[in-house]
Amino acid sequence: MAEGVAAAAGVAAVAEPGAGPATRLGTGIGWRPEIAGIVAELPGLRFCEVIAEAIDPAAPPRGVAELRDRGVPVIPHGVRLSLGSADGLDPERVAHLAACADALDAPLVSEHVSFTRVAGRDAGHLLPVPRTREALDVLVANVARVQAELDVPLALEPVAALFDWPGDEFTEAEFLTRLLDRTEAWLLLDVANVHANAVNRGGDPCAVLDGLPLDRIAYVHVAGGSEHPGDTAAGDPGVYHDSHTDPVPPEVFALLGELCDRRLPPAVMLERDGRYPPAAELAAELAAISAAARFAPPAARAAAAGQVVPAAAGVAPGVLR
Amino acid sequence: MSAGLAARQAALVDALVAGAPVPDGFDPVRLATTRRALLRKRAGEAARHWPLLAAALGPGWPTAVAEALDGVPPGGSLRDGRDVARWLRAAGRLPAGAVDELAAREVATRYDGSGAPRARRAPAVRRGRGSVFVQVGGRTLRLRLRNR
Amino acid sequence: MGTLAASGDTWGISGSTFILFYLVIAVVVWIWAVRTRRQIAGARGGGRPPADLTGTPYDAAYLNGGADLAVYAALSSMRVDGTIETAGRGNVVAVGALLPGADELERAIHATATSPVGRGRLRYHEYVAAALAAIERRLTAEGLLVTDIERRGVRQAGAWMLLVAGLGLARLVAGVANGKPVTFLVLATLGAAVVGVVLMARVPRRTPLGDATVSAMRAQHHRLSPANRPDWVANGATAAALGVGVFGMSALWASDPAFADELAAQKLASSGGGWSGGDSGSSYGGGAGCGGGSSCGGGSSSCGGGGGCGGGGGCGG
Repeated sequence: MAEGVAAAAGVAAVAEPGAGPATRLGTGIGWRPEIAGIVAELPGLRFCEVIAEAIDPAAPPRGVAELRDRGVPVIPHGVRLSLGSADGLDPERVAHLAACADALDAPLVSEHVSFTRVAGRDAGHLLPVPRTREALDVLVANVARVQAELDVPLALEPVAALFDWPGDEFTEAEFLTRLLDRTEAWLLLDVANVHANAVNRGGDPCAVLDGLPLDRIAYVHVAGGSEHPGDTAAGDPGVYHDSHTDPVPPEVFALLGELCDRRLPPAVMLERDGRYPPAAELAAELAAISAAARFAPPAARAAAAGQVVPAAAGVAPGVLR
Repeated sequence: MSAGLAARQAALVDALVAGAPVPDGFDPVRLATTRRALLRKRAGEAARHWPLLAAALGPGWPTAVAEALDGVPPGGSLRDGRDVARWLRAAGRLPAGAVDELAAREVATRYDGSGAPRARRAPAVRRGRGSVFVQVGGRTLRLRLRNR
Repeated sequence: MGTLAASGDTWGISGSTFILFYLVIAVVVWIWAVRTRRQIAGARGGGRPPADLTGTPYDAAYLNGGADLAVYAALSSMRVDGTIETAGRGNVVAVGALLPGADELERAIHATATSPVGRGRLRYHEYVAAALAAIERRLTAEGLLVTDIERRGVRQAGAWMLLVAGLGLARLVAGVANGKPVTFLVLATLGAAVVGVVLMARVPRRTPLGDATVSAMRAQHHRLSPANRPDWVANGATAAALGVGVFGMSALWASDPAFADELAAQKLASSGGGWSGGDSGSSYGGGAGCGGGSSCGGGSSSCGGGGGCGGGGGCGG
């Protein structure tokens, strides 16, 4: 309960980042109606995230409202805003995201660095934008438009993609750093996406971590995926699918560890969207994520409730606290 | 906002979901992989709304979706599944387990293959497999003809 | 003249006098019948809080939908545990070994279905019938279900009303034979008959406490509501039993449509599940196709639904 209040209050600190020591919030999960009963009972759940497009702000799902009323911070996560669309945003979708934030007393909202729609077409998928100045300007303008309508901070999540645009002018890290600098948005870092990009597009995931402004991390996504062997005869190299329907693979755990070696993130959550495991397995996976992110187990945390982690420990002054 | 980029984004979407050629400069192999991945994703989403059809095809479901929807822009998972069902029926390959599912949808909504399925205003009757579906005033009744 | 007229009255009672007395009798019997009904049904349980049947999901199912729903709840749960499978033509067959803590009803079904059994006939087999009877006894003893004796009492109250209608009918026949106007009497008799039939036919199965218990269970377990399409692998076999027990067949259609279809379970699905609804076609299985609101429509957005990602194909987000 107290942390829920703190999380809301933490938003105020965004105005002056680095304004002092921050508590680390802990582990969360993506709330899905199929597992509403399990999420409600998870020990040590510190926050959750809901798909904004699946929520009616006038009547949020009862399970979500209950979590909110229990003081569990709820973050609306947009998946169809299409911030990278070069022909602008759909005002209704912007208003919807803002309404979700209001309805859920959200400490912040998040969306993706991608486009899904353009010129009346809908890919139904989060597609990457070219890493160019032109695309950067588009994103900055769209993000500003959303931020103007939001009462809470916005965090941006880099997506996983299977291809690159021709004529990129920046590396992924450079591009994101510029975007976050110009928009003052927070970073929602998905370590599974970083892993997927490294596998599918090449490159060193640790170098991506090194290049990103880790002090801008609001929270971290962790998710499972699976390798799909390609058809080599057809020139198909095979891919790692960030499916959200498989257990979190060791490589993603390792990358979370690499991140924590560099900077401890304020909060980490699991995204699981289908082929759910039995509740005990889900809880065990969350506990493993919590441990990998170096959060104290629930029992220990309860004992230390209210205690603040010293700034010297290198804790981010995050949005979520 | 940025007309040049918008046009390139549109061309990319067309290549990925509408069967258009690969725009200049993109790696065709990677775009083909992406296209297949998008179809697999659509298969997963459509299965949620067409559980019996997906179950009847089992491991063949993603393949059927990929064949039926390659080059068809996403229409939402309800419509995607309906397109697959219609495509299978036209090919004489609609599995027996999905006949009732399609009949139940067809009795409730009108769909001609373009645009979104619309609720039928008039009462309708469709024969399924061993069942007849009757829709009156938006409510569908399933009448069983005999034990399967 | 007056005497003559009087002697012409059916049974020697004038029409207006009879209809007055008839209406008084009918209303008195009606009030008495309704009060008896209320007294009998509400006699036990008086003022107690609703029962919590979470620990006994098949009791909840029986309370909510009777023996058939209890059997379906058990089959749903056993399907999750992998101890029952469909065997075509609406038959089920036991597979594997039951878990050590299996409920009495599960054990009975498992023992009965060693060879394929029709799911509709399952409840009449000896062991299953015994297990169901035990549930009914428990629920009756807890004051949640009306006993047979009480049901008879309620029915008797309805029978009195039919008797009133019978009296009206007798007078009607006599009146018509006498060539008297009978319009009011026809209406009054019809009214009494309808009330009587309704009282006889709609004998409550649950006590008010039973009704309150069902409502309370639905509120308590709203997370297992079919609108959420709860995942039974994640939530577990007990949740499947509770979901079907508390919310009815729509829960089975929402969470395991393939199993529901194989069971040809539409018989009980008419109340809010199965094939009902369908303005958008999304209501198949009673699941919630869309989160609702403005976010759903738009182009090819796939409703958001349960999550941002359908699975299998890579989310990218």
